[in-house]
Amino acid sequence: MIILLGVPTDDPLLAVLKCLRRMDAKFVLVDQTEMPNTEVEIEAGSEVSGALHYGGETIDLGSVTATFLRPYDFRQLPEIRDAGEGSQVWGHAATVSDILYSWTELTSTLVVNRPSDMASNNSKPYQASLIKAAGFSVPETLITTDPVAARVFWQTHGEIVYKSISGVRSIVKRLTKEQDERISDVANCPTQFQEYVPGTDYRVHVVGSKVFSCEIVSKADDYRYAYMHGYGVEILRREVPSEVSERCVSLATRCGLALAGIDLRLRPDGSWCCFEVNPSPAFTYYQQATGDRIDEAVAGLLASHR
Amino acid sequence: MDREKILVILASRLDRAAAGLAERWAPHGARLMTPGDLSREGWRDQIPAFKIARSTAVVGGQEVRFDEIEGVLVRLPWVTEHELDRVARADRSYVASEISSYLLSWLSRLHCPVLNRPSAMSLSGPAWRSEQWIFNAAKLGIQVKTVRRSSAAKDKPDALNEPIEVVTVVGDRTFGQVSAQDAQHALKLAQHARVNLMSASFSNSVLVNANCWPSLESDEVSTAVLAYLSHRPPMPSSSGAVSS
Repeated sequence: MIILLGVPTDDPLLAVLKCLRRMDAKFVLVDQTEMPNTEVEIEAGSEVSGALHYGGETIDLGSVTATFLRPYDFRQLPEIRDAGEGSQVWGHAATVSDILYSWTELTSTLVVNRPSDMASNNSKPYQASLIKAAGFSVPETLITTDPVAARVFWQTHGEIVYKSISGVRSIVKRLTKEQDERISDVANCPTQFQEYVPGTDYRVHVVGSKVFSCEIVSKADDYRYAYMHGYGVEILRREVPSEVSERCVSLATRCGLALAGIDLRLRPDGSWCCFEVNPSPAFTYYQQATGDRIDEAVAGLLASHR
Repeated sequence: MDREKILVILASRLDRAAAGLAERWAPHGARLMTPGDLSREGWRDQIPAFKIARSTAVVGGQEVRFDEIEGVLVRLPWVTEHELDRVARADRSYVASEISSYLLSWLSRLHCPVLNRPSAMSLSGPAWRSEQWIFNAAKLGIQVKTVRRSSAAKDKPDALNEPIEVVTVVGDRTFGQVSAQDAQHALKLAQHARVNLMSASFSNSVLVNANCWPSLESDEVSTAVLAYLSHRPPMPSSSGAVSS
């Protein structure tokens, strides 16, 4: 039995579900919006066991061979948010989530991906040290609450970008002269500045040992939000050199991720810079343009574990 | 010129025990760092060109160089918005996330002793749930009490009627009125979890729980923590310390 956990409107989750259906694999979609009507229990000693009561059925967690997690923050789901913090519904959803995540940390079966492994993406500078250890170069970065230090860094590098340290409001923006006055705001919150790295964006998806890569053509500082600034995005299927794809697999493995979306930039001098490893990538956005079947690779990986 | 070394106690502004510890350890250079220090001018940290002598932090409202910091004791798992009353209400949640994420990176890169080093899940240690402590201990051959958890309101956790003995691990030393075997088991579990500050509870030599947040009220434990952070050789244990 394979568990898919998330919400049914999520494209990557749906794409994997359809592939599993075509493969005639045994799976269950655990819809997070049904948390108020879900029960779960686990027991941990020298062994781990448990049961999930969902949709009128009881699933023995011992029969689960693989799990695909595309979890949403349960507090943001309308069914739970509307009930309000401190409500019985809210508390129940928190408990169900916590017990399920606890089980995913304990089970020896395949989990794509474990919450503790996904968490490195919540601190970009922390993840940068893992990226560097895998042999990629990372942009020169300053984290500061000192406006003077920010200006010195700007002068030193000529062009710089700023982006959040956590995963919240994680949009990359280039610092412009119009924002000069706002630099004094950094005194209130550690702010991350990075040298602007010129070059061509690549997204590499790693699924187990398989690699899918594409080039992204856009004039936006952050192509994910190009439409907000009136820019377009073109995604082209492109191979990356074998040593780069091997390094990507090695990086995903180091991070404990069976599925990862790795953001790279090829500098004009031919060197590669790595910005980030996304542990829950929206791969359908890329495969729609390239024709790659990342969903099939994920489904195949899940189904291959028995 | 040599500057005075600083011991940082990173804690909530509401943590009276941490404030008391900072006061007691003041002669050893201890200072309290609260999340509010992260929303003050003075932090400068360049990555990956990490120049420790040029990087600066703010501790207790004062700027200090990273290389002046001799050790860090972490007494909070994550920063919440309630810590940041100087920040505009609408921005508190975001700033709390940013500070937590930065502290994770900072604590993991410091060259000095840190109790405990952070993980991606917590600013101190691995943030294991009871089930994870118990399951990992069992894998090490430690006798454990099975832990059960259920989301069903009717299923309450089993009450423990037996007396509980607590072992505190500080580095490779253990403290508490327990058997040598329990102390060894606690140490083994701490090493497996890659933590140097841990508390383990036993009932008749059966592990019932563990966590990374031991009480530091005992003089023996707090002295051992101070010695660990300041690289001082441990003092001989008095009664109550079962191994060292």
